[in-house]
Amino acid sequence: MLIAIACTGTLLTGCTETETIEPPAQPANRILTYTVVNTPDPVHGAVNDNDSTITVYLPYYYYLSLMQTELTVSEGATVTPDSGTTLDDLVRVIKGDTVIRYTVTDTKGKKKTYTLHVETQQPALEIDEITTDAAAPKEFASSYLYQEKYEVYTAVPITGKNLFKNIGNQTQVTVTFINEQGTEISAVDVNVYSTTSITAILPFHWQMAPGLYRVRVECYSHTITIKNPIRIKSPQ
Amino acid sequence: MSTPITSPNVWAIRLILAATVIMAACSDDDPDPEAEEPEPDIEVTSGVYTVVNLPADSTANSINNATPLYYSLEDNKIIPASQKQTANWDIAFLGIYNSSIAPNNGKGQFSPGYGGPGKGGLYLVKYDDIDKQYYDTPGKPLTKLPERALFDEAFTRTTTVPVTDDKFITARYIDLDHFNSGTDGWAYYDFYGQMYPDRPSSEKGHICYAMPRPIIVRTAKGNYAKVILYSMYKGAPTDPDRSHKAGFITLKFAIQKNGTKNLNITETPK
Repeated sequence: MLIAIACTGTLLTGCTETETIEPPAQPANRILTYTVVNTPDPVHGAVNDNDSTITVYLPYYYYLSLMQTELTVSEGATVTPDSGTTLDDLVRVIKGDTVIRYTVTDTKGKKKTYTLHVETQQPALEIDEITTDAAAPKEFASSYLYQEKYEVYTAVPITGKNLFKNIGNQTQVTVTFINEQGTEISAVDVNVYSTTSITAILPFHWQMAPGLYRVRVECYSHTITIKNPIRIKSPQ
Repeated sequence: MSTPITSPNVWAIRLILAATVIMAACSDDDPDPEAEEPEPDIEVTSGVYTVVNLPADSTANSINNATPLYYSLEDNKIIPASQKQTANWDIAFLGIYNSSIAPNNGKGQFSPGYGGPGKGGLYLVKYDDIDKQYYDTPGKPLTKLPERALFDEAFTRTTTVPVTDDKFITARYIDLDHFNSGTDGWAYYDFYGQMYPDRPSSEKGHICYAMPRPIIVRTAKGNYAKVILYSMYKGAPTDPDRSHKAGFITLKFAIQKNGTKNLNITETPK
């Protein structure tokens, strides 16, 4: 008897009309996927519709200098820059010096713009002062020709942390000397011995006038200009 | 940048293009000589291609590494260095006088393509019976100059990929033969001019002699090709000396575009 009453109750409940609520339609101007394709394995970016960003976690140890990407968008929508566009000078993008934005336009002309962020998680670069006493800049003679025919190079030792060794037949570290007028001259060469020790080869004396120079070290997407200058003097 | 030389038919097309350019340059009402149309790419199909005087770093010296040259076998053209971390090139010529040959491999630490998508590799093929015709002992001077016919014989004899993929070089180079290393190479480097004791070392010292050893190339995209290098001197002299300009590579290659390891390719595409 009790079971019969329960069944009746269930049947009555089953006859109650239910209302189906459709989920709100997705905007038709979305980036659906974003993939870096010029890496050993594809790297997928995270697309965030709420804050209109694309975040790519790109391993720093790939040392990518350019990025080829493929992206998909909502059906019928178009995107600028288009899928397949190569991003040159990627380091500037990583540093934030160049901002890349993708604009998606749906079939009705409504636009949505996403901003690209590339995170490499490169370990923080540290460079030790070459001149420890600012009042007494450390001195180096510029490179010269011995007997006007034998090249004699001066190496400036630089120490720090998280410098990269040579990868892919190319050093990943560059060193620039900046005089008091702001004129820059690159080291002739940089020898990377370890992640804590490099030497920068000075230019010849006719390329580099005597005086005080600050030293800037760049390692992939990180740059440090050390505080105290060094003094370049003429060779004997 | 244009390809130096490809097949004879391509030459003909280029001559026509060159003539067109010259004629345009002679025109008085040339509106904008800077607005030259870039040379259209010509599709490279499976076949044999010859590349003469490929311009590498002709200003290189014996102290510093030369500026690398990146070459696509898939497209038979030079690729700009800015694209080294792409799958657009297949072999690079780098190091002293561009004498080392590198694959495009994104996982090979010493490949210029490190970090990129390249899946390439290299494998040096040696035939003992061919080697014996000009060479006795690894690291010692050649007993004679290998004839050009031996290069073509070695190239033709290579009809398939003779090893499994794990035997390919991906993280280092194919260098000069037993020079600063214990490895077999693509050319013998006569540092002192020992092969020619009757001639001054100023003429025959520091000369690189190519050897008839094909190189199997797995391209960045995963196809297979075979390459034979004839010379790294301008004009590909059979008996080079110091009067010949270094930094000009002459080679022949055959590429298989269908993904198989069949390198029994003899036809030059029309």
